[in-house]
Amino acid sequence: MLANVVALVPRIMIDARNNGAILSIFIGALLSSLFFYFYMNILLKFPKKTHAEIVKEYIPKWIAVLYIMIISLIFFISSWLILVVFIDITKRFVNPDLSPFVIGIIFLSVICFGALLKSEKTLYALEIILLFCIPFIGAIFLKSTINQHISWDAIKIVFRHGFELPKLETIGATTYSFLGFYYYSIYNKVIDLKKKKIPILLVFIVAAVGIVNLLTSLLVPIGYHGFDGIEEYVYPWFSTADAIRMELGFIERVLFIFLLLYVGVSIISATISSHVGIETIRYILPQTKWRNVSIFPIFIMIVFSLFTTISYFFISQEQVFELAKIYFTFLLPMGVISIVVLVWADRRKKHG
Amino acid sequence: MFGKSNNVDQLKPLLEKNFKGSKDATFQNLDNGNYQLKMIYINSVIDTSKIHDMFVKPFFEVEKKEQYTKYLQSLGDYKEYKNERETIKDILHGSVVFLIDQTVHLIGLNHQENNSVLDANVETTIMGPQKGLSENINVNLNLIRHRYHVPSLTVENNYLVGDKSNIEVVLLYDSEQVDTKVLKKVKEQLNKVDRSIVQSAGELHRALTSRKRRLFPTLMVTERPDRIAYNLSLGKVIVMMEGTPFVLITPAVFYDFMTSMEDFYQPYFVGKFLVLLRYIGLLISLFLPSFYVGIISYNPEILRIQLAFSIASSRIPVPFPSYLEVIFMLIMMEMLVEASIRLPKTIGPTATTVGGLILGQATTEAGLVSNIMIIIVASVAISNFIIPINEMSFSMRVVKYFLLLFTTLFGLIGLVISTIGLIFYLVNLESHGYPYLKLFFSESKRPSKVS
Amino acid sequence: MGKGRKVFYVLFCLLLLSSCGFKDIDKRAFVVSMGIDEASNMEDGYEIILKVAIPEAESRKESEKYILLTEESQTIGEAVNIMKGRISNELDFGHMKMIVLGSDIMKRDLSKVMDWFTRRRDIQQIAYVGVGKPDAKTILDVTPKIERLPSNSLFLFFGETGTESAYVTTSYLFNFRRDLKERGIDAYLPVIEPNDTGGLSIAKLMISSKEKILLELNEEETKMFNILNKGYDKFNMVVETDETNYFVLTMDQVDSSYTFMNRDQPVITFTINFSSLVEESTFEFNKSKMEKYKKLAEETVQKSAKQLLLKLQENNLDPFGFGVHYRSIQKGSEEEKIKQWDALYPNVSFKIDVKATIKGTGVVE
Repeated sequence: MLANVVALVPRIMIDARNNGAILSIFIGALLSSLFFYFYMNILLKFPKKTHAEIVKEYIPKWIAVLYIMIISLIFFISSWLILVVFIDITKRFVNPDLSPFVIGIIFLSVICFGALLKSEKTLYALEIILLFCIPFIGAIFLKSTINQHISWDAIKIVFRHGFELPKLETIGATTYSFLGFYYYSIYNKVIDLKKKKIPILLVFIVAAVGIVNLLTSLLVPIGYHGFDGIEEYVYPWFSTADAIRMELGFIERVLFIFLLLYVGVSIISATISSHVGIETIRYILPQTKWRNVSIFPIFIMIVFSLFTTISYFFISQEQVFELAKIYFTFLLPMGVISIVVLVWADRRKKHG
Repeated sequence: MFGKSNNVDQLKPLLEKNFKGSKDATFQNLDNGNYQLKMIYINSVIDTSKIHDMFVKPFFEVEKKEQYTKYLQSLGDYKEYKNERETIKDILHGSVVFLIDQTVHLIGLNHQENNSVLDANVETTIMGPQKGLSENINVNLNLIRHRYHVPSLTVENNYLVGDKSNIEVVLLYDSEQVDTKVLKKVKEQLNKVDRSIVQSAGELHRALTSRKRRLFPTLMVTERPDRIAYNLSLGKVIVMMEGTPFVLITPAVFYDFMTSMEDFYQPYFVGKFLVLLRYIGLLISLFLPSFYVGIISYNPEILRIQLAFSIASSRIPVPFPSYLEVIFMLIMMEMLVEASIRLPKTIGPTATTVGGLILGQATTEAGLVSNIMIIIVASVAISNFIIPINEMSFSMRVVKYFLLLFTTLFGLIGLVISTIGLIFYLVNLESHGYPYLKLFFSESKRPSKVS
Repeated sequence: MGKGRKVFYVLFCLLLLSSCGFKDIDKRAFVVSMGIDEASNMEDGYEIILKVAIPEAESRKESEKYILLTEESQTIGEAVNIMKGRISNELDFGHMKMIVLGSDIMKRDLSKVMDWFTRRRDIQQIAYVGVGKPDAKTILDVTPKIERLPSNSLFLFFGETGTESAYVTTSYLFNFRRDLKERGIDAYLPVIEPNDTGGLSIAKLMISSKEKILLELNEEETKMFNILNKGYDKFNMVVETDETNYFVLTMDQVDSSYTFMNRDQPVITFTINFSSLVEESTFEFNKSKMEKYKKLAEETVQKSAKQLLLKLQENNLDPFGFGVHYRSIQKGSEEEKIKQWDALYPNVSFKIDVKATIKGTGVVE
């Protein structure tokens, strides 16, 4: 969930900088590692099956249908949040003269194409784009921390307040950045880990990477814009990237490299999210075909695209943040529920 | 084994009807006093010098008919008579038909003129083998056998492609390494080919892929025996064709098109450096023109100010928007490339001089394009030639216009979006069941033994 | 083929829709620097000066031309909008790298003045900010001889690619704004003045507090400030041995840090470590007296550092951000901490530890 480390999550975390932000990162990491561990281990008991397939097979029908719909909706909302935010960012920073409608259409035309590919192919695309982007993004993160104008004292103030009791939405926001492993619910079908259990070491690595990632995304903007000054920025990370200067290079302003890389990353994230959403919901849809192509996934993508482009005009940035907060808070119980449902399915499988 | 008595009666008029009219068909009657025979062949496809030594001389030395028949049957290229249609096909492919009394005998005496081994001049290497393939399939098989001494190397040659051209196609693979699924698919597709004329490997490539309109090569075309041998060892299937010094290799994925055999002949780091260089070249030739348009027309604040200013001042005399400038120069460049390929070797350099030097100089003098643009076009052209396999570099030439279109419409965002679209498209392609573009992720249903 | 056709239709629609944002680089006029002065005939108004660089076809010959646009208005945005009508090319702020605030404008509430700059997306956060003396317009109108690109000499001053001097303090837009907003630190800006040779010189510093107290530091104090604040290591120091004799040290490596002790009656201890080479001297260097020279050097630094710190304290200015540091080590709510610190700062005492090493006497003894 690299995409949201710069968009929604830091804004919510920074709002909580007075209020146990650091602690919430650690709680979030801990909870997510637990979820990760249990969720993966149960999924691995059903080799080559998607989450939805398992649920459909072993859980009573009406619960299964409801559950699958909710899960699918969660993935679509995740994709929607990314898109709405990045359409706004693109309009604001890259090309203010382009209408958000056009931006939405070009984003979504690529995303629809990507999301309707086969599962393994979306993975290939993900790999390529990430492999291309992550070194640059990592370099920018690293460069952002070695700057003599950064105010370390402001960062230390965050730690002063870091261990107060955090709000639920802040914890939700941190767990959101660990959301990636839920995508495995679909990719279980195509990836063969050749393991019966998730190694503990992997859990630790994931947790550690996530913590470092979140700490950077919270602290660096504060170091650049001050504990009090950060408050006014809508997209703290992009303003931070603008404050990084590349002394020797063709391009002096890091902001643009950062923006273009992140537009790329966000599109692939939204693609994967929508893909998982589609793959989840298709099990409760009729398998109607027209000229050998299933219609419903295409239909859903079109509805989703229309909804996203139109909704941009009806929702303010503030409302998006409020919705994101609710959504993040909602993620925590959903994690527990999915695990419970999977355990239930596992029981029923064993007892025939 | 002896044909039925009415074979000759049927065949003879048929052959006469088919071939009597053409000048190079020969109907020869021989009579040594004891018995007669009739020889029918097309002297332009067979080795006529051997006719006398192999058939005429023994005919007058052997007294009995049965003995001569035995002699014919003992020859290496003896074929049994099957039916009239096959016989006509065989004659066309260089067989001699013998009619002795009521029996028919066929002897292959195929001769092709251009069987010399050609220099590899499409994919050249500095230190690797210098010779490529020839236009003769047997010579090619010989070349490959000499590079790949393994008993499991299998040659299958029961394919004729094209209703009219009837070109012989041979499948070549290492039966121990090959992925049987790929093999099956290739065979199916070879049987399905429905074109009247197939003459080059590229055409066969078109016929062999299920997607009719494609932008990227999904089979590799090569002329290098060393590449063929290398790919055989990786378990790939080679499709050879009579009459062309190129073969097809399948499955071929994106990376294969970016490797040159040279990489294996150089020291490790040099090889890696060359590969890296190629990818950089690929990126430059794909992105530079669109990047130019995106920066010049949408986000000039990206560049550092000193650079932005030197571009701005070099663009001042240019009377039209940046994308026209870019398209104009790119089209000129493509024409130059095309012209120097098609022109005879002796005039080729003149075209490049006129186009590259004089035209380039004059357009900037006239203020039609900026100096920077000339640099960009030149570097795009050069870096495009770095891609070792010609087919891929041609594809990339086309792709950059798509990127340019999107960038012209939407600025740098368009560039990012179209790049992602391109990646999705490439990822979606398959080469006989193999994903075209992927990195590390391995599928659970990974086909065996093929890299 | 259904997909192909769909894509085609989408593309077609897009072609109809888009017509926006496409503007070639030579149709844009780049604002390279911007000045803000007090309006002469308007209460609370601004006079905005834009230095617009005009690219010319034959750029190799001589320095580029520029246009100076000025406009007075109640707000910055309005002034800029009026100026748009005065130039045929589109005004582009993407390359604006220098903001010069006239010394009169410094007396106003700076966070209001700077608001326009942080809101605009196209203004770089890494633009340099400085104080123009006597006013911004004079500074922007100066064209030094060595300048090829308008305002390039200012960029070279502040960017680390050109000159490196202990007298030049770089202040980026983002950190100037941060210091304006952050409670517990006072913002500082370099002072730019025209010099006799037709160029610009930057050697002073202006500190502005949130209570609109302004203080200008002189050259020596500015140098000391840069040393203490960032451990700036490219400076020289004159050490007097007696009335007539002196030697000059050039710094090789400087390390400066401070610690905070005793939270109720704070003592701030600066530790400065430097190693240096002798660059110039009026007498033969005596090896046996090296210890003495070292001591002298240490005392010189200590004296001027203490002077600077006390002067700042007297004026109740805190450009080092001791207040922020205090906030970072103290518990409690932020408002309380600020109140506590405001009461504490006048009573803080300073201690300065200097440790010098003289590594060599240059190429000669």
